[in-house]
Amino acid sequence: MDIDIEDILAELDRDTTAVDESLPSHDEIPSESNTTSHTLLNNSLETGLNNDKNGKRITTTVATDNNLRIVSPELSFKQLMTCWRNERCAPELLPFPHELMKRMMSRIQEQMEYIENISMGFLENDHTHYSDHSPQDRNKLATDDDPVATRMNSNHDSKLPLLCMEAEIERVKFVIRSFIRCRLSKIDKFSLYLRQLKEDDTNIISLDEILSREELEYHERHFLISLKLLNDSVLKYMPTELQAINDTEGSVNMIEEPDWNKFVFIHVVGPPDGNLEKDSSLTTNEFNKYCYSVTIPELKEDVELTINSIYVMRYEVIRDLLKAGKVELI
Amino acid sequence: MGYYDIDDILADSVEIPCKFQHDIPGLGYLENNPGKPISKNAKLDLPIWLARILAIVGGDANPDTMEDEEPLPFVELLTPDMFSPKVINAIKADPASLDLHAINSYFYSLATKWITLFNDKQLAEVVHNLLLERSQIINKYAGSVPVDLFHSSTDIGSGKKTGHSSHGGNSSMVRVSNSTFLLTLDEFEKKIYKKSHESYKDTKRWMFEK
Repeated sequence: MDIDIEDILAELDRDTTAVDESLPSHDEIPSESNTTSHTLLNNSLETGLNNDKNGKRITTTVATDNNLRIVSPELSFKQLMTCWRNERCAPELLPFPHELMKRMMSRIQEQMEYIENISMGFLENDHTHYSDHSPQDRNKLATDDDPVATRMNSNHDSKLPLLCMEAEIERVKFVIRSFIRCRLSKIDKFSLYLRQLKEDDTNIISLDEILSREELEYHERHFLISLKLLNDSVLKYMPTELQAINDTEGSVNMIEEPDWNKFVFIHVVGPPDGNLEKDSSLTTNEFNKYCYSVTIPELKEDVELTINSIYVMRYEVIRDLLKAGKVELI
Repeated sequence: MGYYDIDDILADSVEIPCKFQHDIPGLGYLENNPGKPISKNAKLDLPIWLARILAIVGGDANPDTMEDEEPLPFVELLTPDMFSPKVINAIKADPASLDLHAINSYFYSLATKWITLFNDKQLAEVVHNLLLERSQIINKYAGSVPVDLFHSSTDIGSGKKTGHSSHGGNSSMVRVSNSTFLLTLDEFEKKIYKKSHESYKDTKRWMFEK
């Protein structure tokens, strides 16, 4: 019976998503909880993806406890935060979130243009006092590139929404910048290892999936530059059999691999869609709590990872769970 | 322990005593008299990066070892001072008061290398306990962030000069009691101490300042 009601509710929700969505996205900026700025902000953030969202709504909706899973700006920002945290803590270079980053970049672009349009409205100093708070209308206005419409959208003298929008975009940009810089430092570190991955045909994941296009180029060129420096300054004086910089036969392996057994803090979040019953790797323990069971190979020890708890664990052990989004690094 | 790890390179150059098991011509420069052969049973101090290989690779052309099943390696590694029973007993007795830095400044990384070479479970256990015991003290010292650190910095920020003398005395007290222990840390522990102290300090600074 419950399931039926939820289905009906989900159906109802589907019709009114445009209104509902502005509610959860309040989490997006925890520090600033000004509602007026939020309605403006969220809607403007959504505009960029409105068309995209309509297309995806059918394919990506999964009805779980009344919430519809839609690629909303708020969700993709949350995904970005997770990616960022995982990247900062993981010893290896994680696969690049291609789709997510494409979404985020286009959204930043659009939001910046939007802010610019609004501030033009401030400059021209003729505000039509147009107090309209219904999101649908505002969306319509924001998607419109007509400068008159955007000017009308900046409907009062208050600069607070503009301030918040700028602060918000700075926040997002900071996260992306830090994320990419972290990845670049890992690319520097594992340059030889990544190269070995590329040359090795047997390997499962290709380099294009791990790196973005820009990172591939960076990796390639940075590798060549440092190779040239090493070659010209030192290696050309060495005997030919010692000139390789990726020698694995010598007494010390020259290729630095990620420290697979690094201890990391993990938070077990459970399956990403929140549906505990469907996840086949989940088991229940004697306290009737859901948990994942993993084995530490060196110690031959089984460990139960209970959902919503925090562990210090070897990275290799939880690697698959991390890739599936069932645990997060902290 | 990467290829470009400076601490690892430095640790690799620590010399350990070795005994040669073959007569080898031309290697006299290891004994500082080049041109002469190195004789069997000569005792030498060799850096680990060299000794490690020589202790594994065997001399096959030697007629003495023909009857042996496994070729005798070039050198035999003798137990260095830092893993002698004296030191092991001292570690077992009181890890906290041990002056690791005086024994060897790269004690842990050398111990790791030694354990991998000989598969020495007993030593592994001793060093494991040593690290656990000492890390508790390291944490204690790293967690004690001097209060005046923030006072003085805020004082300077607001242009006040009051209260500096008393705080100065306080901080020097802390530093003296810290330093006697900190001088006994080996390089690995120093890294741990530095990192944890920095994170304690930054957390405190974040909590009490803006």
